[in-house]
Amino acid sequence: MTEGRLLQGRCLCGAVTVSVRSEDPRLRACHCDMCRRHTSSMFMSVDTDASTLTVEGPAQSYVSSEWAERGFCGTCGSTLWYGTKHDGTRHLAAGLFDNAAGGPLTLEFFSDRCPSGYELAGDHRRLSTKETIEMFTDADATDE
Amino acid sequence: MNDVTHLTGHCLCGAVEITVSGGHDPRPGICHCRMCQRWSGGVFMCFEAPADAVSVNGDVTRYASSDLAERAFCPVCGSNLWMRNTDDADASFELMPGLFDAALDWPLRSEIYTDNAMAAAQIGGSHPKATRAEYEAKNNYVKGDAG
Ligand SMILES: [Zn+2]
Repeated sequence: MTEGRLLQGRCLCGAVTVSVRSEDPRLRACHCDMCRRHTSSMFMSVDTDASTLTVEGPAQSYVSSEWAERGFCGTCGSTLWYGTKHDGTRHLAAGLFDNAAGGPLTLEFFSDRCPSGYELAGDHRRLSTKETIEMFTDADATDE
Repeated sequence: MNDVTHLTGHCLCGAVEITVSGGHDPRPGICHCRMCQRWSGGVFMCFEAPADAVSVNGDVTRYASSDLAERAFCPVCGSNLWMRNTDDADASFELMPGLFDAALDWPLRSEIYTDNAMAAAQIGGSHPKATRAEYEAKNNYVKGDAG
C-alpha cells in the first residue's frame, strides 16, 4: 500500500535523492551527544513510511552503535538519516525536504542535553534523558 | 569577543580531531539558508576561529559548495566539520560547535535567514536576528539556492 503524500528530497550537492511517502510528516529533534556531534547542533527527522523509501546516489552509512547507523552523502557530507539496525528503518533528515515537508515539531529527545545557549520554541513534547531512555527501553525501540 | 581557551573536539567516529589554540569566538551562529539546512539536516550552527589557531588531525573531505566556500566532513562517519571561505588562504574556520564539549554552555551569537527557518525549527531567545534580505544587503552570498 502506498498512502500519504509523496515527498522528494535531496542533499546539498544533489547527488543523493530520496523519495518517500508520509501521511503525517511531523518532526522530531534529538539532542543526544552523538546526534549533536554528527550534525553540528541536533538531529531533526521527518516521520515517513519507511517501507516506501527509495534512495539514489552515493549515500554512505556509518554504523554508530550496536543499534544504529547514520547516512550521509559521500560527495558533500549532507546528513541523510538515522537508521535503526533491528528493523532497517531510516529516519530521514528534515533538511532534505523544503520546509521539512511542512511538518510541525512534535517531540524533542534528550531535551535536557540541548546546549544552554538555545532552545526550540513551541509547546511540543519534551523528553528528558531519563524519559527518552525509558521510552526506548519499554517499547523495545519501536520508536512510538 | 575572544576567548583564548584551548579547545579539543572530534567527529562522531573519532577519526578527525580538531584543536583550537588561540582566539576564537565562543558563540555559535545559526544559519537557516537552504544550503545550510540541506547540509546539516536541520539547524546549521558554526563558530569562528582564525586559521592560525586551528589544527586538524585525520582525513577530511572538502566539498566546494559554491565559488565562495568549502564545507568539510569526515569521510568515515559523515560528521560536519567546518565551513570556510576559499577566496582567501587566511580565511577563518567556521567550525561546528557540536564537535566540542566546551560549546555546550556557549550563548548564541546570531541567527540569519530567519524567514527561511523550518516551521519546526523556531529558535527562542533574544540574540540578534536577520532575515534573508537583511543579511544579503550587507554580505556576500550564494545567489539562487539560499531561500
Ligand atoms: Zn551530496
